[in-house]
Amino acid sequence: MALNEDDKAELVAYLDGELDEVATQAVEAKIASDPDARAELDALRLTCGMLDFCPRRVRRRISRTARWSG
Amino acid sequence: MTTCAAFAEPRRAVSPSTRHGDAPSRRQQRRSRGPRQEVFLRVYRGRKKYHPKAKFSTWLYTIANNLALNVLRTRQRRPTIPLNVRDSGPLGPRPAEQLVLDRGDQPQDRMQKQELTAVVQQALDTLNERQRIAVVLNKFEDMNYAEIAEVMGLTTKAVKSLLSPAPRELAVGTAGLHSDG
Repeated sequence: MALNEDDKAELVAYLDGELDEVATQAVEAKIASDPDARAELDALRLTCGMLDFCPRRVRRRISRTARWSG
Repeated sequence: MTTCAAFAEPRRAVSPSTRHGDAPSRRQQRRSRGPRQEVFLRVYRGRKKYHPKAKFSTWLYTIANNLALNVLRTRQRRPTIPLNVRDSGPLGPRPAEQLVLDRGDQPQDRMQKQELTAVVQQALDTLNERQRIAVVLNKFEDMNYAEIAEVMGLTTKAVKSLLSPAPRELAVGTAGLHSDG
């Protein structure tokens, strides 16, 4: 089933550890039953992983430039 | 060990259950960074091979899968034993011990960091300013949604909405690099 924006926001918040217990269980049930949700979550994990696993020095450098530019 | 198992460590490391709970050891974290960073570098390097007709995530998984197999083969061929460098006493590590510590950052690692910085910076540039700041605060300064809301003068719900499309736009931003040449 196609995911709507709310579903996608829940997946991102789930990855970020921002959901309460009830919402977490709802997302996990969705992931278990919906291949689209699972695929979306896996794709999100990879993108978020790119940021989460940046070396500390890279993070500092990007943080300095990105926060105060634009 | 299966292919997926090679990525089990990094996946666990970013899963909600381990971020605030039974976190992996530092050594596990260091080992898991390599394959993830390498995936994104390969995505960047292989950008010309990406065809918009193919699903981006499928292409990404193909790269990740191939890399996982390579990592497993390499580990089997060249098993490594980590050196436990300990403090020699009140004077700190001896020069030879310090050298071992310093060697953690090889020239190849530095090049990868530079490339990774460029990829991430360009991907971040695809976000609007508010999204970029929210992502940086969340991912690089480890702030939760409530803290970001306070810093940016928004509600937590607004932060959630702001961050929700960011990973997809970052993925598109990276895919955009793929067609720039």
